[in-house]
Amino acid sequence: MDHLGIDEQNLIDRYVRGTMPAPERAEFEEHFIGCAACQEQIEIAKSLRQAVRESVAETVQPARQRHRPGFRWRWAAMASFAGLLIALAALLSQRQSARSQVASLERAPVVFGLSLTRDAAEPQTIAIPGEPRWMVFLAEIDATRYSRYRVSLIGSREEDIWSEDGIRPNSTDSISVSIPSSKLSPGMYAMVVSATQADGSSTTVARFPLRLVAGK
Amino acid sequence: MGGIYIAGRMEVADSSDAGLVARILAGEFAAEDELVRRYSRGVSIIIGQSLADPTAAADVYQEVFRLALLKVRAGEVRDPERLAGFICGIARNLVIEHFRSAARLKGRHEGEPDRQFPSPEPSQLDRLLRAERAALARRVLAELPSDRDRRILYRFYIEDDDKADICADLGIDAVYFNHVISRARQRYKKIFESEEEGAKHDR
Repeated sequence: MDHLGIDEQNLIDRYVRGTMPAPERAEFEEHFIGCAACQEQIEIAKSLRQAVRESVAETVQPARQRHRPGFRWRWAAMASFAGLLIALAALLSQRQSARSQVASLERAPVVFGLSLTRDAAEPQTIAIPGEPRWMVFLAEIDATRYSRYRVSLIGSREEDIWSEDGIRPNSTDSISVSIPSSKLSPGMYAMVVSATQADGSSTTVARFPLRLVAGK
Repeated sequence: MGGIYIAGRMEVADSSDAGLVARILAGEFAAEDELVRRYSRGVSIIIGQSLADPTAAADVYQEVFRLALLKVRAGEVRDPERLAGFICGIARNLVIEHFRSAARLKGRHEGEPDRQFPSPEPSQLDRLLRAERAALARRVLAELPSDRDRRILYRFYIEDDDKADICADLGIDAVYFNHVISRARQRYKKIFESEEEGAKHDR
């Protein structure tokens, strides 16, 4: 195994990301266990990856809300996804042309956790940021049954305010969507996560009642 | 392979893997230390890749070298030239065994109420180190010459997107992609080292 091939095949990053097939991984491990240069590159790649994630996660503020005792760990785990969401917002920026929406990206997105453990009838109050920002909604769902979901924001008269199809979950128990705050106004809403079943019909996986209020 | 010249005794100790195995079989205690030194960092990386819990990783690390030395002493290394592969195999097997034990333990407790315990809060030191690391990453990101390069890093490190997808979406080739990632890594290392150096001077 030579270092030119290691660079060309991106073995260092593929190893750190855990995306190597087992035989290739075993072969690479047998090389680097005795190679100080590769060990250093792996450690740098691992640390940089972690640092980039931490640098964006620091800017995220999870929503304050009530929890049932014992469910805090779930939110800690979900908070770790927060970093991922900022990049999602960055990606969405590619699709936006309005200057205000681009400007909103320059500010840190705000993340709101939507939990199934809350009282289903009680809407969660969320403040819309005063300045344009991406609002990232991180919803707790059972994401084990379907590979892709539709997430819709429904108005008080059941009108479709915003929706996105084909969203892949972050993990087996959460899914996230990013919405520019400029698209939202105070009022009563519901965020509905649905999936298409084998027979083509749609089924609601989770529904989160929301009360959006004007924030600072 | 190379050898180690031991001053005074006019001997050359064979430092190849096969030589190391032979010296351990001959009862040379220093050779055992050398084996641990040689493979310590690599074994730590292999274990750390699968085990995030530092306590569990430290236990597995100890067990890897305990078992490796036992097997070498007992002459169980069939191909001494491939000592590295032999040690990798032990490390991988012990990591798998760790997960099996954890699964067995979990199985034994099935049926009990599913209690969830909050994760321990990170210590102040953890938080400080994390903040420092994050600051370094922000410097690296800020120094990137274009938004496109920053997007490459975000998509690669945060979203775990494939290199091919990123290249296709951003209209760049694999060589440019490798260049951006490699430059970011080198810059991160350089900033990290200069910060370390600065910290040493401050002490």
